[in-house]
Amino acid sequence: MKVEERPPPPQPEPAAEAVAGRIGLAEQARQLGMRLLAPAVSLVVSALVGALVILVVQRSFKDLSAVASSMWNYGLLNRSSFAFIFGRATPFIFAGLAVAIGFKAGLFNIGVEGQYAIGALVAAVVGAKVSAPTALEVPLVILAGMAGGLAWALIPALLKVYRGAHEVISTIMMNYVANGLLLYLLSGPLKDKHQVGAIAQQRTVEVHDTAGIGSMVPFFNSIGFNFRASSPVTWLFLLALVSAALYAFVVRRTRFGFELRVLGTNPRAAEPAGIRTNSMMLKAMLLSGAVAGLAGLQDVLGFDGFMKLDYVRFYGFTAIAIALIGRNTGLGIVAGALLFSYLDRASSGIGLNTDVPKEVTLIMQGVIILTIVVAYELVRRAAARRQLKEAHERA
Amino acid sequence: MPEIVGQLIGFAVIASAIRSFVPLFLATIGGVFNERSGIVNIGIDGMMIFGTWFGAWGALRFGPVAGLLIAMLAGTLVALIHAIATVTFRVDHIVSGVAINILALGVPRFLSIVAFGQGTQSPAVEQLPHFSVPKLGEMSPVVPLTLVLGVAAWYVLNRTVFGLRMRSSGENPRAAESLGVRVVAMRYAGVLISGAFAGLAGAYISVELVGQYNEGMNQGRGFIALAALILGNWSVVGAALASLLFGWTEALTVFLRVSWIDNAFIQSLPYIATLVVLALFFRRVRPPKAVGQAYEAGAPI
Repeated sequence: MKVEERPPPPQPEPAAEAVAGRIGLAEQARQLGMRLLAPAVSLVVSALVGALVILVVQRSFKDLSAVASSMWNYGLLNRSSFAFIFGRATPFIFAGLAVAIGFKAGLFNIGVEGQYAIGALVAAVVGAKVSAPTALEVPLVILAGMAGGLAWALIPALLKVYRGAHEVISTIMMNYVANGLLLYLLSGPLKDKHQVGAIAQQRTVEVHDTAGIGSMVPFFNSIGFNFRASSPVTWLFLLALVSAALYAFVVRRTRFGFELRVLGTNPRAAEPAGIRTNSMMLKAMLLSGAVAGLAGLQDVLGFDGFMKLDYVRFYGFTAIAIALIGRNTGLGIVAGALLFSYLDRASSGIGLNTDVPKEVTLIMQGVIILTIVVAYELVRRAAARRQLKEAHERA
Repeated sequence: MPEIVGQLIGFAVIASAIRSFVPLFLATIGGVFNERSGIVNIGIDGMMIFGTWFGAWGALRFGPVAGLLIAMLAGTLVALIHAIATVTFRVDHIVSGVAINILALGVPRFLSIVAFGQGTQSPAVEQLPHFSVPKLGEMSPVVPLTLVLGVAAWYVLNRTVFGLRMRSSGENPRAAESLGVRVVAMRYAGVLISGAFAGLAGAYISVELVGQYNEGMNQGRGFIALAALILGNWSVVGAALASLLFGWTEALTVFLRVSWIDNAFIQSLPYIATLVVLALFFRRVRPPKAVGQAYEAGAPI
């Protein structure tokens, strides 16, 4: 990957630079405001719809305030709330990045769901079969997970490039085929046949301890948090943050990222500009699958220690929402992942402390997704109108 | 090998294929309408899911006929969201469709808890009186209704002014508008009709096929319908043939038992068939020319 060459910035007069600097700052603040406007509107609308649903279903304001207080107290202020939020956000970030890589290239990877399931399975098998020192084994199982996700993205990628088959349908079909494959493997060839206990689960052999990914709680507690030791957050959270930063760098600062964006924004201009579109499409889809393969690792290597048949988490579908909310930027995806993770935490709080069905947060998530796409479109149009007006004024 | 022949084209398989054909064909007809009007509707699957829920709920509260009608209404309302997003706000069609599918994962769960007291299924519901066909056994009245609707859809789309206007909106909206066609209205109509068909397809599954609502019972049939739409080259007749093929593969998952293929793979047959169809036919078909493109009424060219 070669870093793009950028021309040296022009050197303006000192006075002009100062003026430009001031305008630039105001302009930057305004642009940031515009960017945050859509998510803010979407959050407010979803909170209002959530409140309305609670009022319609429960017909009481008391329930509404109980929900609000448990969303606040249990969701955020509880001792281990943030550990839960970080841990839950980990797969969301990986899956969101996978979707975003596809989006950047103009591809809809709806197959993240199947890709991370296969990735988790491959990682679990490798972790159980291979025994090596942790420093070797952990990178190995992580790579195994990525390889599994990549393999599952390969068929839709090839179908897209060589047969023109629309990836939305083919990746969804691959999700169902993944279910079939998991059913076959976990109830037959890969099933752990030496389980102790009354009911044998349909799951793989447990991985070696050296393949396990450690808890991040001691680290957080050493920097001033006070999480319970059993809180579900692993070092994969750090890897997720690093991945998001790496993604942002690659998309914005490298030749590969540039070609990805050209392919996504103007595919017809890509070929004349010397971008081999087929090869780029293939690479984007495979990279997306490989990153998707990371999303299932925390459950398998951090928590359970094996892959089981009833492993269906719907990270892949949430990830689409997260990529949309985050506008396919690294920072945006982390923020979106934390938001949806928080809503899951708040949902448990609602279930524990109130009479309202905790699934009310699912409705809120749905509303966020629908309103955010409309809100972004409206903000984009408003910005375009403003630019047009300014251009007229200057002329 | 008479046994395998029976497992492939025996009467029981044919009957099962017809039952599976119905929701696929209904959903695909809906897809023909929205795509010919120029709007991509990836949200068909979500609209079907809403149909399965509202069909069961309506049948439980007011009887099976009302269940089917309520499901059609629910499908139409969900489609209205898609139409507002894509036609009026010109949001990317696939993004909006995906959003609707995600909505369909969560909202029925919430509704089930409120209406049925548990998240994943409804009590058994009353069905329409089924009739008996020689050799094929019991059939739902929705089966002949589907055939009637198929003929009606073909007629409306190909033999009426409304259908011509709708198709022209998806082929060349600019030219259509210059001839006085209200493209925006046509596209709204296409998406809403699609939602109604998807809702009915969903209700058929929950009320007539199974007799209750179960979470996840739609099993991605909306996406298989999208593949049938492509295989059927965006025509009603093609949709019928393609749905028959996919309906048959679905029936095979029940009846086909081969010693050297694990049953788990046979269960995946409809999805593998869809992949094969996409791989073989995607390049040979011709979608409506302007499908998926945003259109702004009265905008300068």
